[in-house]
Amino acid sequence: MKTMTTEEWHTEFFLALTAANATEGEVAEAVADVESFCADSRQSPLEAFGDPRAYVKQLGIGRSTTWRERLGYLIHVPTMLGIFVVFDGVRHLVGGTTASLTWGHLAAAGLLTATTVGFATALFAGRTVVMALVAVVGMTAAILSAVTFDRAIVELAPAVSLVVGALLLVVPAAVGTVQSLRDREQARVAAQRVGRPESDSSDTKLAAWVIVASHWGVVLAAFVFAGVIALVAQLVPAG
Amino acid sequence: MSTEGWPSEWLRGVLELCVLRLLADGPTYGYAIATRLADSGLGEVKGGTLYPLLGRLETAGLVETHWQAGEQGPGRKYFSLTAHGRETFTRRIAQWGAFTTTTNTLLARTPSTEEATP
Repeated sequence: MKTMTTEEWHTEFFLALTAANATEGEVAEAVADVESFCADSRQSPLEAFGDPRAYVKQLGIGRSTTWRERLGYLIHVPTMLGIFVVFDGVRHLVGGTTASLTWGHLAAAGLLTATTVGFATALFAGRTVVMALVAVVGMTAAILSAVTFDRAIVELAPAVSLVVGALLLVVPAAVGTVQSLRDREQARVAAQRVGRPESDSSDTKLAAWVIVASHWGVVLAAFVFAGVIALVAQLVPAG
Repeated sequence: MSTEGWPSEWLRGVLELCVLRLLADGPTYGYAIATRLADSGLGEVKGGTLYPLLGRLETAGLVETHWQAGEQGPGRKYFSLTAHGRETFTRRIAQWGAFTTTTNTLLARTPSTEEATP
């Protein structure tokens, strides 16, 4: 049997439960069962429950991803598109030319979304090689698409492009934050059900910050990079 | 006789009935079930074997659960028999009695007392 620290076991267990699409309640209950049994028996999770992925299969919990959940992934397309539109807007604002949304931008946004979803699925399933492959192939295809298909769908004034890009970034981030906070509340209720009174403490507050950072980090990074591009373009004279 | 090393297929076959028997005494939690099984001479039953079995019993409606909050960390999940579980247990224990009688009768016939097959 391979060795594993308790933390590693729990991480692998959580990833396997997520890959099985277990509900917040199922996750909370399964984790509490393990913690409770290990605390009583003074055994490590590996000793008491064996391989975490095999144990999740034995538990038989989880369900298939619904079509509604799959469609939910599409929320990432506007975010990816927003990054391209903001960058393009800044570039043309500095250059004093007209910005454009191209078919390449649209294709790259779709490919980057598919790459992100594929990467996360492989991560939860513990398939490191597939994860790396998805990242390399997806990113390469996205960059090639953005560069190759440069035919404009619509031409925009740089300022309009920036506003559209900002909306494309901000709206999904706001929707995602609300959804994640709802999920977190469900997790808190599920944790309380399994007798975890401490769940509404610093851990949960930290999780709220992680949620905010995970949704707004991309937005912030896009604007910071766009600002840097604009600044560099101002400082370095053309030609 | 040593309780170690019961053939695993025997344990797999009988574990569910033994767990139902322990639950017939009243609500109890995972580790207590494992300890009582070990004390009864069945050997160590790992959490990884016990919880999936308890989960199957719950899904089948034979067992219900409730949580008791822990002062620190997770609470304890208590398992108890439902009315359906109690009926099933009573039926299976009768079946088990008939099954072991049949098996014991067969096994008691040592080769020397066995009638020669034509």
